Amino acid sequence: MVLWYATRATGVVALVLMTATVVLGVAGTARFAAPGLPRVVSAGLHRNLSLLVVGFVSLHVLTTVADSFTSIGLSSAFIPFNSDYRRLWLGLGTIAFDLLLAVTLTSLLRDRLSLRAWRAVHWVAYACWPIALWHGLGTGTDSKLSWLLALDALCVAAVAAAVCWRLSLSPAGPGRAVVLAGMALLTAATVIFVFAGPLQPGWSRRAGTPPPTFSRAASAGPRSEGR
Amino acid sequence: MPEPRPHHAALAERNRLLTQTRTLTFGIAGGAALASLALGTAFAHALPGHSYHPSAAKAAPVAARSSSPAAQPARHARSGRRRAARAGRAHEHVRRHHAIAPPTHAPAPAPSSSPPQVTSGGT
Repeated sequence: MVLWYATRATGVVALVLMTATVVLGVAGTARFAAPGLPRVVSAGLHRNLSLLVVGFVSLHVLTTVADSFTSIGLSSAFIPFNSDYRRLWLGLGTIAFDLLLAVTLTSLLRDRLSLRAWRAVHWVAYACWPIALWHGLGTGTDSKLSWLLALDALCVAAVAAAVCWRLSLSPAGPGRAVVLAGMALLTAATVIFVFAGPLQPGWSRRAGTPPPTFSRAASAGPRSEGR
Repeated sequence: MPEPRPHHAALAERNRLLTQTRTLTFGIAGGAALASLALGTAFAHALPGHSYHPSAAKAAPVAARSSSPAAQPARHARSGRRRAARAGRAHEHVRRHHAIAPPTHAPAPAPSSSPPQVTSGGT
């Protein structure tokens, strides 16, 4: 029981830290510097927070695997769509974890890689954030909780604001329009998904909870249906 | 010979910035750890009833015979835990005596697999 709550808590904290990392990364690309936050400090924070994210996500994975309520193997932490428990939504989390590991490893080996290769992997890492957000919304049906929904909305708003600010500094062109349209589409799709999916009754079953786990959750307590 | 003051100043500035980064990082890491604890507690309060014991689950059909827990979704989670504990005790009881209690009702007649016999009643 404790492990399951730890899984949820570390997952939420990891998402918030990842949001901060993305915002700092976006700010770093524009060489942002505030009076109390010089560029060296913001760049160092970006690097340290991303390592902290790896730590929290590792804890999140370990507590998930160790928890006996669902049978999620260690292989499911690395191989996407390998688990019977909410295959699609857990698979998204696996992809995000793999991307995060790729970025961390290439950043640690940055001296031995070409800047181009490192940057290519680092750009892919931006996909890690929305994938992790959708994993959290789809797998953790505790996202029905209003304060958790508010936290998710705050994360989306922070990243959207950072991207919009960054785009406002770049010259107008088709690239800017594409990124803006993509951002708007992603936000709209997330809102529609939340209202059509996790907020609807019976999401747990539709998300792919295996019948034995579902019946166990039902017998453990009426409010644990969302596990 | 004059001291290379700008070099010293740059080093001091670098150290100050590194210390600032480190302090901020430790502050955020500590805050994140505390937030994890607080969130775990909040989840435990907001979503109770996640305790699960394999023995209770095995005995669930025994308990379900008298009152189906899944069929009563309006009950509070605490009563669900109590039921699970009771079911666990019932399972222990059954295991200790190696016997199954006799059924209170006669089993329902099994549906016949053979087609119904039709007699014309005549020739």
